[in-house]
Formats: sequence, C-alpha cells, structure tokens
Amino acid sequence: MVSMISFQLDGETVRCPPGLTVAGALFRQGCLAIRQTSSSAPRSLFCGMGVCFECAMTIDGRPSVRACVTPVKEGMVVTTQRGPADLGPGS
Amino acid sequence: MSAPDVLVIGGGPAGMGAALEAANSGLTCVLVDESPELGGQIYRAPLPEAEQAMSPHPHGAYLRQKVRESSGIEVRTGCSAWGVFEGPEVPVSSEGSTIVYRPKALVIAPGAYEFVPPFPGWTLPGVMTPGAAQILVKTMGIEPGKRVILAGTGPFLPAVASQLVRAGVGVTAVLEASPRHHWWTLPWHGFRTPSILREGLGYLATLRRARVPILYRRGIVEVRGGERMTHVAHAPLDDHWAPNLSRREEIEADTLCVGYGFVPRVHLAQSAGCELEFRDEQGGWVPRRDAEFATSVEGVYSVGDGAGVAGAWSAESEGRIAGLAIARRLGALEPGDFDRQQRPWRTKLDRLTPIRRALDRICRIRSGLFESIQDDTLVCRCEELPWKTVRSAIDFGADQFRSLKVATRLGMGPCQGRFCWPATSRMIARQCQVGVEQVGPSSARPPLRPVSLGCLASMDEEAR
Ligand SMILES: Cc1cc2nc3c(=O)[nH]c(=O)nc-3n(C[C@H](O)[C@H](O)[C@H](O)COP(=O)(O)OP(=O)(O)OC[C@H]3O[C@@H](n4cnc5c(N)ncnc54)[C@H](O)[C@@H]3O)c2cc1C
Ligand code: FES
Repeated sequence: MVSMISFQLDGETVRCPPGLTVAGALFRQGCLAIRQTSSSAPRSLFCGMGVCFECAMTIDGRPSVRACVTPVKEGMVVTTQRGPADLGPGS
Repeated sequence: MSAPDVLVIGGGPAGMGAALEAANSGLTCVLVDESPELGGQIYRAPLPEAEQAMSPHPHGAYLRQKVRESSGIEVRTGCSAWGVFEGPEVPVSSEGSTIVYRPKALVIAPGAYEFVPPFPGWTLPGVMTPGAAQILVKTMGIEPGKRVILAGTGPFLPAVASQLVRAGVGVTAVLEASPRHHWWTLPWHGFRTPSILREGLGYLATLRRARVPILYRRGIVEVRGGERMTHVAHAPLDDHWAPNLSRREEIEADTLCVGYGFVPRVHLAQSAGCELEFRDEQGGWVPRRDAEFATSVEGVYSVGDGAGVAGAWSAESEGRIAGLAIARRLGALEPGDFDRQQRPWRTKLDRLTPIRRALDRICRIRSGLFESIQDDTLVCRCEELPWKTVRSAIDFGADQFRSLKVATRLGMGPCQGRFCWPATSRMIARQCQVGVEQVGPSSARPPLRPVSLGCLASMDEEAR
C-alpha cells in the first residue's frame, strides 16, 4: 500500500500519493479546471512544463504559482484563482 | 554575488553536456535548472518520491550521475534564472531568495516548448500539448483522459501516442498534417542514423498492435465541450494544410494533445542582448551563433533546442562543443586538445544533419494551418483576446509585437507572448503578405519568471 499525503484544495482535504505535482494531483482527482479567467471560463493544464501559466494557483499564500511544476507537499494549502496570473513586480 | 567560471542555465542534455566538458577541463561551473531534477524534457526525471513513474531514460540517468559526480559542478535545481543583464549578470531565484551570478562565461540552454496554433475551442480543459500528457503518464502515472486524440505534425506525436498506449491510456487516433508519402523518404535520409529510424518504427509498431490509426493530411478544425472538451472536429488538409470544411468529421474525445513542432525559448538570450535571426526550419527566431555556439554577446553561448530545435543528440553535442570552446577561451584547454576533443561531437552533429533536414521539410508549418480560426477564436489565451480584435488592430497598421501589445494587450499576460506570438506573427505575415521574418520576434522584459518582492529585496542585499 502506497503511503498517502493530504493537502487542502479550496478548503477541502484531498489525499494523493507523494511524488506528484499539484496539477498532477488535481488531474488524479478528475478536477481539470485549475483556474478561472476574468470572464469565468475554466482553464486547465496546457503546456505542462511551466511556460503558459494556465495552471496558476495560489499555493501556501503565494499567488500565481505554476501548479504543473510545483510538487505537492503534505499540508499544502491550494486555492484556485480568478483572472490572469501575475508575474509580480516589474511585469 | 557569485563568480564561477561558467554559469549554465538549463539542465537538459545541452546544459549537462556543456557543464561536463567545462568541469572536465578544470573550470568551476554552476548549473541551474528550475525543475526539481536535472534531465530537461527528454530525460525528465520523476519527482523523488514518485511511485507510479515509468523508469527514466538510461542515457539521461548516465548524464545526471556524471554531473553529480563531478566535483567542479555545483548543481542548483528548483532555481529559475529570470533575466540576463550586462556583464553578463544573472539573477537566479528559488523560494524567497536570489543570488546574482557574474560568470566569466554564460551558457544558455533552456530548451524549447510546443507550437500550438489557435483554433475554436483550444482553451477548453482537456486540450493540452503532447508534452503535458507525456509528463503526466511518464513521471506520475496519471492518465490525461480516457479517450485521447493526438494531432499536429512531427515524430513527437507517435512517440507520445505509443507511450500513452503502453501506459494503458485509450488513444483513439493520431492526426498528422503532412502526407504519408513524405514520411517514406525518411529511411533514405536516415540511413546514417539507424537508431533513430528504429526508434520511430518501434512507435509505429506499438500503435499498429493497439489498432490506433494514424490519419495523414488531417487537421483539427474545432473542439467542442463545456467544463471539459467532449468532441474533436477534423478535416482533410490540402498541400498548404488548409482544411476542406465540407468533409469535416467529428469524433468523441475527452482529451486532445495538439502540437505542431517546437519553438526555441529565446527570451533569456534576448534579454542578454543577443542578436536573433529567423530560421523557420529550427522553430523561428534563434540567437545568431558562430561555429562554437557563441552568440553575438561576448562570453554568452547558447546551445540545444533553445538555440534552434534539432533534438536531444544535437543538443548534447552542441553543449559539449560549447563547454570545450569556453575551456579553450579561458585558457584551461590547449587549442590542439580542443580540436581533438570536439571532433567526435562534431561528427555526431554532422551525421544527424540529413535526417534532421528531412524532418524539417516534412513538418514545416504551412500557411493554411490558420484557416480554421474564427472571429471569436481566442488568439491570446492570457488576455482572452479574440481574433477579430487582433485582426482589426493589424488592419490599422499594428503589425509588430510592440504595436499590437499597445493596441490590444496581446502578449501582456504572464506567458509574455510565448504562446500567442509564434502563431500571431505567422497570421500577420499571411494577412499582410510578407515573410514572417519581417514581422519580427516578441520582446522579453525581466523578470521572465514570477519573482516576489522578497526575492528582489534579498537580491539588493546581495548586490550591496
Ligand atoms: C514537453 C517536451 C517533451 C519532449 N519529449 C521528448 C521525447 O520524449 N523524446 C525526444 O526525443 N525529444 C523530446 N523533446 C524534444 C526535446 O526538447 C529535446 O530533444 C531535448 O530535450 C533538448 O535538450 P535541451 O537540453 O536543449 O533542452 P531541455 O531538455 O528542454 O532542457 C532545458 C532545461 O532548462 C530548464 N530551464 C529553462 N528555462 C530556465 C530558466 N529560466 N531557469 C532555469 N532553468 C530553466 C528547463 O527546466 C529544462 O530542464 C521534448 C520537448 C518538449 C518541449
Ligand atoms: S500548464 Fe503551462 S505553465 Fe503550467
């Protein structure tokens, strides 16, 4: 039996095996809509390698983290975002 | 501030090759990669705790081990380089902290990403690149969907399709834009690289056994669905890849993996001030380089798919040669030793050229690819910009990246034009009847990655 870890997704507890990215863990749950655009359209994993920012989520309080390149960790707090991702100061 | 002899950005075959040769000659080397493990795209390693992953590629594991064993290489994974300033000076950030490197030589080896043209429905969940699906199955053992269609052009499609099949994922069909008889020419061009031909035939055999059809001269015209895509519409293509809509067909599918080749990641080279040139067959804008892969900026080298798409073996050979050239330049290698040591890598590169050229010819993007775009098809995914807005700005004379950005916000989102510009620049070229090279590249402004205020503050500390 695989040891499982758990994390919070929009306030709900999700369990998954270790070694997944946040996007991978969401796909495993069948939860494809990773983010919502400003016009409320669902968006999901697209490039899968950190280039397109379609998978931007707020992770442990940091906004616009790319879920496809972020390993999921025990106790992580993940929330879905609305609107485009923000590159931070200077962008 | 840290001042190694060499800083290498990117730990794929190109970057690892460069670091290994530089360190073998006695230079100190820092190798940074934003992934959790070295390997790059082709040799991507699963996350350390992953239990459901496929076994990693043996040559990738070999390179990783050599790099780890080398005392001259400091490896920093999970770290992003987000710009190149004069010097060259390179800020590299990991969670919350930034180190600025000022190396004697810089190697930029960031690889490539996939080219996806816009079509109606391409933003629906379930539409992704073949690379995204490959990463899900290969490194995590997760199914991208239950009924998967792959579409686009190039050998990467059957490669990913057969990996999906072997992982037990239901693949409905592979749609290849170019005609079947073009592929028949490959054995002729590839007789000096039999291992590559064998690999390709292996993929085709896997697909045949699983009864997955490859439909040639077919392209996507629309994807439909709601919260997730449910249907793919495709049509036969003419010689310019324009779809014949009267013969449109629809298939049920929950996942579409779409990719029309690769685009080099040139933003770092651009931010370093490297001159670019347009090479359609290598994926578009690439840094201008000399025979040893030095760019127009003193001390800055660029290698691998990020400097022109040519595949993993070329990437490693280019990296090795650049690493040796840097060693010679910094006085760690005699010119005679340089000549001798670079020769096997040069031979390898030359041997790959014929099959590479043949593939470039078969898979070159044709202008009809953009004919399924409708007025309300989103062109810029980040800013949700429909084609009609972009087209009318083009009609009003905004026909370059900067002017379109000001007129429409195209490319203002976090991907900084990486996904919209390769396609939009081709659409502008088509509309204005000019060459794509006249439309020009997108521009890059640091930070090229998300950087927190904390990171910037810690960088000031460092610099002081
Ligand atoms: C998604 C995808 C999957 C692929 N799969 C295959 C395959 O299965 N078989 C095959 O033959 N070819 C594959 N290719 C083609 C592949 O790109 C090349 O064959 C080969 O990997 C190129 O090597 P490289 O070293 O030039 O770049 P890569 O292997 O892409 O390595 C580049 C590295 O640079 C890092 N990087 C990029 N920017 C930064 C930055 N700013 N800061 C820090 N690090 C950075 C990346 O994380 C990456 O690890 C794939 C390409 C893509 C895009
Ligand atoms: S899916 Fe493209 S950045 Fe994550």
